[in-house]
Amino acid sequence: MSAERDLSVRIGTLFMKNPVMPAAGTYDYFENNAGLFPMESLGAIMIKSVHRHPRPGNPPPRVVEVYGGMINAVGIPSVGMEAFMEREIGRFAALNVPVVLSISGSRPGHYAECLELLDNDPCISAVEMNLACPNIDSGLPFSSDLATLRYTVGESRKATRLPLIAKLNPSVPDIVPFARAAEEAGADALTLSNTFRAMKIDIDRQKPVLGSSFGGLSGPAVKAANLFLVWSAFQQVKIPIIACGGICSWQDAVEYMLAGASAVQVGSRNFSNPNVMPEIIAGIESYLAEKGYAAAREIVGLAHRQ
Amino acid sequence: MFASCRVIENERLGEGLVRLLIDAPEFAAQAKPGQFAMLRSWQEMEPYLPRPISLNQIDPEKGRIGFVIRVKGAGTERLARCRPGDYIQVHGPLGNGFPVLEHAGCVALVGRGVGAAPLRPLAEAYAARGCEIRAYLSARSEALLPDWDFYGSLGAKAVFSSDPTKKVTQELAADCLRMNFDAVYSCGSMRLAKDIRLLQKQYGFAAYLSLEARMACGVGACKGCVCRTVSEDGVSSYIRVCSEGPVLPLERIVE
Ligand SMILES: Cc1cc2nc3c(=O)[nH]c(=O)nc-3n(C[C@H](O)[C@H](O)[C@H](O)COP(=O)(O)OP(=O)(O)OC[C@H]3O[C@@H](n4cnc5c(N)ncnc54)[C@H](O)[C@@H]3O)c2cc1C
Ligand SMILES: Cc1cc2nc3c(=O)[nH]c(=O)nc-3n(C[C@H](O)[C@H](O)[C@H](O)COP(=O)(O)O)c2cc1C
Ligand code: FES
Repeated sequence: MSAERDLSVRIGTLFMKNPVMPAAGTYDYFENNAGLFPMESLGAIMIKSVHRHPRPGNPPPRVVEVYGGMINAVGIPSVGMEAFMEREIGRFAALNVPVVLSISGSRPGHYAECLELLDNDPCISAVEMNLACPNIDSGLPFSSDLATLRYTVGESRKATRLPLIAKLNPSVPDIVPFARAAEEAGADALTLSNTFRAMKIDIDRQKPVLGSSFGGLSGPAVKAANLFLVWSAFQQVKIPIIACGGICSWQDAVEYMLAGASAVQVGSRNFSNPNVMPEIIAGIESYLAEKGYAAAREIVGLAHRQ
Repeated sequence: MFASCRVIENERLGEGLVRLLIDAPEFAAQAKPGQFAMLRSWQEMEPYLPRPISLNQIDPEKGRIGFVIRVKGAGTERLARCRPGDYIQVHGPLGNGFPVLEHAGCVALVGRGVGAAPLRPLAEAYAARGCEIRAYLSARSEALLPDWDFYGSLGAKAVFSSDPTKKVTQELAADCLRMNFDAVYSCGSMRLAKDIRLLQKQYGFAAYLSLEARMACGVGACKGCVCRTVSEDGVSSYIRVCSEGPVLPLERIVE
């Protein structure tokens, strides 16, 4: 067997030994994850979005399967940032794997407030800003309006020393200005992207299936469209990109890396194959070995070569 | 446990209703009545999600688990098509299961159609304790009800109705007049659950309901499967059916 490959990824002070982590809201460290593999083998773990204030989440049904994936309208049920700091964050101390905290808000100022409350807590290695949730004032995601995005990320930058990852909403005419705005406002990395707005109607009841009528599409159906977002952003920003959308196999992960992703997040595929993340790590490693690369970073963006 | 398990038997019970037996010693050793598994018998991406199915038989001695599957859409259709020798992907046992009361002398089980599937291992657990069992079962036809004969073989007294105007909870109400139920268990039907709740208020027995919800992960991670509940002090909140249920005290679901 040849020497081990270097799979590591660095995002500011966040060091991951490999590029694979769960997507927010799909894989919970403390729930029964079938005990299939040590979670320390992942590049990082992710804490589901903690909202600035407590929220019950949306009325059921919250999930529905559709062709090529699923739509969720979970609506970020949360204990709120204060209760999270008081009661929950301690559980993440001294885990042998970097912990990324996802935060969300209903107003632009909420993100910086979350970060002030977090106060650079040593349990957390990086923060992902879920900018796809709706801004109460406009009803639109924070990352679908350039000024709001700049302000929200800029204020957050001032409120923390931790690496900041801006997770953008894909449903915009062109991802590039949004990717650039997040970079200029101080984001250390981008996650591309959150779910695509979608819905399903029950033709017998003649009503939307989901309790909140619409939600976000994820799964294989979004991969091709999302790959283009990663490809486009890679040409125009310098900060690392974390790909998220329809990753179900190591081949999907490699495809995203060739388009320009430094790391990948696996979401809804964890539900049907709870062992998929270690399979993806192993698959990336064999691909590198087979193609003769020493490190994962060598293939990032390779598909852009002339 | 998440593993690929061999199908031992596929028994056709009726139109669109099958019983699958799988070889799963590790699973059978841990499983409790009222728990469920997330099943997937296909390799393709489509259908995307696994399907939640209750445990209908738990046999730790033979190392087997049984499911009863009612064909509804693409997922259950694929599961029902499995042949002996095929492998299916099994994640479980999941959820909390029915509490089995140590000193119960008499319990009632109420179920409708395939919804009655999880009651069978519960009946076995109570039969093994020498507890008296009454089963109140209904379905559109007898062929759509799993385990009808089985309750008789356990020595349980079972009533069955396929008449939509005659609810089995009326029989339960009549029996409540002269019997002392320690607990009443039900699953599947909210209509029946509401009737049982009224009887519970009158007679004070413990009552448990097994809930169904659309699920994605089955383990508590996605928060997709919630149901509104009321706590003892009247506070209303959502619980995850997969990990905090599927079995809950009836009074937390129906007011
Ligand atoms: C805890 C639990 C235990 C169950 N036990 C059994 C059992 O023992 N035997 C049995 O036949 N069925 C059982 N069901 C119902 C079974 O899961 C659904 O009938 C099945 O998921 C339908 O899938 P489908 O692809 O055939 O239908 P489709 O309608 O094509 O399914 C589309 C989507 O909706 C979901 N869905 C549809 N109906 C239901 C439902 N009633 N409950 C939850 N999700 C649903 C599916 O999982 C899938 O994601 C149980 C459900 C739950 C939640
Ligand atoms: C059930 C569910 C819950 C989710 N919750 C969150 C969340 O709390 N915060 C967030 O930023 N994204 C959330 N997402 C989006 C995922 O993190 C991810 O962006 C999306 O599922 C696309 O990845 P996939 O195609 O691999 O599933 C959720 C997705 C699902 C399916
Ligand atoms: S199905 Fe995911 S939390 Fe219940």
